[in-house]
Amino acid sequence: MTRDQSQLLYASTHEWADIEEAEGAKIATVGVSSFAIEQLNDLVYMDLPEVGRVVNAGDELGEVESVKAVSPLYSPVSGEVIEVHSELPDQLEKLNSDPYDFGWIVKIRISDDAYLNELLNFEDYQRQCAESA
Amino acid sequence: MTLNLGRIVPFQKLSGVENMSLDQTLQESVDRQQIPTLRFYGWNVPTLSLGYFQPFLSRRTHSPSLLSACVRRATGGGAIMHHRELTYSLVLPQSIQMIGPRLDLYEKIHASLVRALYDCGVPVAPFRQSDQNQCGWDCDAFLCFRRRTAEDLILHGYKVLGSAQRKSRSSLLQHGSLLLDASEFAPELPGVNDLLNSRIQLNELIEAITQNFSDDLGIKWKESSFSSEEMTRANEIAVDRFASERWLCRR
Repeated sequence: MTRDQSQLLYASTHEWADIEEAEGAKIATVGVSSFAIEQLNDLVYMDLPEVGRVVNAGDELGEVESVKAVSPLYSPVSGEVIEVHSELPDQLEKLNSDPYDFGWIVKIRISDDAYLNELLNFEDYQRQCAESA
Repeated sequence: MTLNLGRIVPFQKLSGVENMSLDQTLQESVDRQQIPTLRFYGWNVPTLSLGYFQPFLSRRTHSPSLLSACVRRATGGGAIMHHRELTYSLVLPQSIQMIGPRLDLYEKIHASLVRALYDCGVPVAPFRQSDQNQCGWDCDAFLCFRRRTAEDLILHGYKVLGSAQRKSRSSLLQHGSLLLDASEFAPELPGVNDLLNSRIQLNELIEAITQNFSDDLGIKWKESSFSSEEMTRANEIAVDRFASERWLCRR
């Protein structure tokens, strides 16, 4: 599967969310954008949340270390973490090359979809990146 | 250039737990108030600080520092033996456009430090501009000062200054250590005084760094100590995080 970046939603803190319907619930697959990965530069460590953790949009989901800097990862949606990409911390080089497919981080069952309106579409996110580059 | 108003906290020598708690407190203050903040400090107890992701048990690989106090930083990189050193911490708000890509900022801050050190008689250069056949470096070493990255500052083949960062939603903390003299807890790492066989004047250096940060980042500094609210918050952070065994041994 190749995820289409133009169909994803983005947090201003550079996480992407791919929203799908499954068994009557909305599930967000969450990752970090290629722009952020390039800015972070050479990721060396990643901490992921545990399955079952309940997060609000904007809460810290985990942390990454890249060339001496620790940066938080934020949840773009509210809900419960139902799956974690546990192989990812050991294969961070693949996150650099494939941030939208192999590089997914967690899946979250959305509990409140009101916040989805706050997320940016692809064009607005591109504009934000261009302004901050 | 229009200068932003910044805050400089007077020099203090404190414990590792206090220093790390106060750095986090300052970052939280900057997150709220969006005022650039600079602090210089020393360590009143020789303290090994582990990088955020380093396993606690990895300290067993460095026997000279085994009996020292130990704290886990919230920033990345390798372990640092803080003893005879000058430490700086600079927190810049996201709202100020100077912040830019974080590696550019890292380079910019180190360029200010290079000029200040040079003016004080310490001719350091970034690793990327140095002779890379240098004394005992190893990119996977336990100690940060035995590793090398492009902007680490080198004197006579030895790393004497390195920095680390932590991002929050609305600020970036960068703190770093300048080794002044070798410590008996890490005797393999000489400081600038050892390498130059002279003594650097700390007040002069602090003044030079402060002025360069002012010129290069466009900040006018105003001295301001920690408020009582900040001291209360630092105590809370110490209990919850830096003084707790759970935090120290979390990896």
